[in-house]
Amino acid sequence: MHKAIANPTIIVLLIMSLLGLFTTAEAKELEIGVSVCLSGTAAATGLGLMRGLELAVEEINSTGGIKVQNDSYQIKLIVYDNKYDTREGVAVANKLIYRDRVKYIVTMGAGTAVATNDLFVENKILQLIYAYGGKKTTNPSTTYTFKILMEPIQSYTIFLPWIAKKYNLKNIALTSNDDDTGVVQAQDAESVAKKIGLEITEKVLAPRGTADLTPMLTKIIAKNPQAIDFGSWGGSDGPLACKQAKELGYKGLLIFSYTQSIPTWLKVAPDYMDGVLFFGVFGGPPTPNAAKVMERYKEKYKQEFDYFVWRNYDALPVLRKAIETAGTLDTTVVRDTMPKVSINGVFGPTRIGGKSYYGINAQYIYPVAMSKYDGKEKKFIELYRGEVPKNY
Amino acid sequence: MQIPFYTQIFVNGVVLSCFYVLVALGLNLIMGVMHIVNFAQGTVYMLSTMFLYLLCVEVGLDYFLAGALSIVATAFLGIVMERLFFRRLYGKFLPSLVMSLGLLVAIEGAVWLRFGIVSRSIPSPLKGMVKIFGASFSFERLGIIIGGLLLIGGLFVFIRHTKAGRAIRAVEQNREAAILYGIEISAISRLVFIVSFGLSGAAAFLVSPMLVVDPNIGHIPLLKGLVVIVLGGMGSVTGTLVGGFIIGFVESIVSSFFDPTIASIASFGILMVILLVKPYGLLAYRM
Repeated sequence: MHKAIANPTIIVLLIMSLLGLFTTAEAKELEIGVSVCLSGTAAATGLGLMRGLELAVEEINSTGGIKVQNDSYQIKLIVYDNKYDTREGVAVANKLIYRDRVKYIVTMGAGTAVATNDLFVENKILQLIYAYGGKKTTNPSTTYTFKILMEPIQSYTIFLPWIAKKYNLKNIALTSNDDDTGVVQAQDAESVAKKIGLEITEKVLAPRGTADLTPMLTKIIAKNPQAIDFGSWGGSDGPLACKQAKELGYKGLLIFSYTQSIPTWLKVAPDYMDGVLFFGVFGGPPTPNAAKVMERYKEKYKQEFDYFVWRNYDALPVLRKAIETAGTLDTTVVRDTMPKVSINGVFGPTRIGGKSYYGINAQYIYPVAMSKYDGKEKKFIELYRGEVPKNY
Repeated sequence: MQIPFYTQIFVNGVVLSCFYVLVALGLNLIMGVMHIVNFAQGTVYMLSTMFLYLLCVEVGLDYFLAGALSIVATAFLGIVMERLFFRRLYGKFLPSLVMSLGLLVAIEGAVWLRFGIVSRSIPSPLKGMVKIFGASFSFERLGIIIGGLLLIGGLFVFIRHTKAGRAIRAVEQNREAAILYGIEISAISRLVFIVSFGLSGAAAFLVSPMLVVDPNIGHIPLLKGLVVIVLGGMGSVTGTLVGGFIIGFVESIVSSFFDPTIASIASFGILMVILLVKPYGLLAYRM
């Protein structure tokens, strides 16, 4: 024993290990839970969300991770499929909070966000939601939740007056899904349309996954609307609705205001996209950063770029900035710091706001664009780009 | 509301009816002869659309050749399934139900693995539109109506006027008596699976270009098929035809005047009322 302690090599190793405590921090990990839909009709949307997060994590980790005072955290995602089902979403939230013990969670789905809010507030879990749902999902009681997606109410406020003027619209028909998201979106569209003096010729709500939308479209088209807004119709239903409307001989303006999966459109209705308006779609990469993300996406996944990826890419960089500014992983402190930070995101300046509408600053705010698809050139032409007011 | 509007409703009703009848006929034939419920029937339809997609889009075959091959492949799958999974389950309701649900999950899972989660479409071989009484119709919808009615008519001729069809009816009406008359039950079971799966393949061939293609698309045809069968009468081909057209037209009319949610409620409402009056369906026991 004495002999061992006297060994100079062991002494050097002991000294080095002691010094090591002061010079090199152990590589730490910050686990972030992800509750996302990876099966069913919303799976394409979920895949886009997932890949956006994966690319953002790669960037954060490769640039030193999240620095909290002297420590550096590499992000690790813990992912579960919530099947876009509220019951499944609640189960996933419980699993992430009580079994995996994560403090930060990204959730897809308005129903799940509403159902799990108390759980998140009680456990002080900071949640980033990829959902709409209006004031149901963001209000003064959702104190630990931030909404990544710009909501339809914001998009309608920015785009609908411009569309009405540009296309000389006097009326519009509205259709949407009959779930939480769809109903709120139809209400938002209706309120903005009425505010700018558009007559609503028809408003039809229907379940996602309706096999044949032609009967519903027959009713809508019978009133000869100048434009149809397809509300929350997304996934494979969106392109199918467009195709069936055109097959019925509809010649008016088709507006898709919900987040659309462009790869799905290109597979389902490539011949029917000409002239269709898409909210939230840019003509090309809106910033150099967005162009880089696009390139990285193509390189990593060897597929056509999915525009969903831009829409959720900044979720984690904003969180990173807030944690680094707060200098702690304490979720309450980070939550309070979130509205004070801003980043140069993929769409441009990105910040947290929304108090004038929701009563709480919990909405990611960034520039948004609207594009028209040119079927001949097979590309999107950006028609208009705008932002909500600074004091929104 | 003008004539084009009503014409549109009528054509939408015929299209939906043909689709539901084709899927339900396959389901009902198996139910009538084997006395089992094949919950994988919608999945068979889905699988057939995937065969079609594979051959038509990925391999690049002509749509009609790809359609013929996918119908043959689906019918052959019927032989395999009957022999491996269902022959021993004749009349065993619960085991056959579990078996078919297991097949449903397994097949859908396999398709997910092969094709992924993004919905796709099969380019229609019938491009363009036509106006009838001022209403617009795509040629693919007219194709569904013509093809669907021909298939349904063909099946009626087969069931009523051929030796094999009469044998199927005999087995459905009285299995023991059919055996005494020398009808080979295993051959009839196999034939019923071939026809049933072939009909799902034909439905996929006709309808696929109009709808999307993904691993989930079999659920609605299965549900509608079951409603049509219960409404028309289990084991009754004529009943399936009547039930299919009732459901198709109710959905078309109610969706066009109200919305698809109310249309679903109306379909099930009619089903419940008819079951109260005729618990075995409209035309039970009339093959």
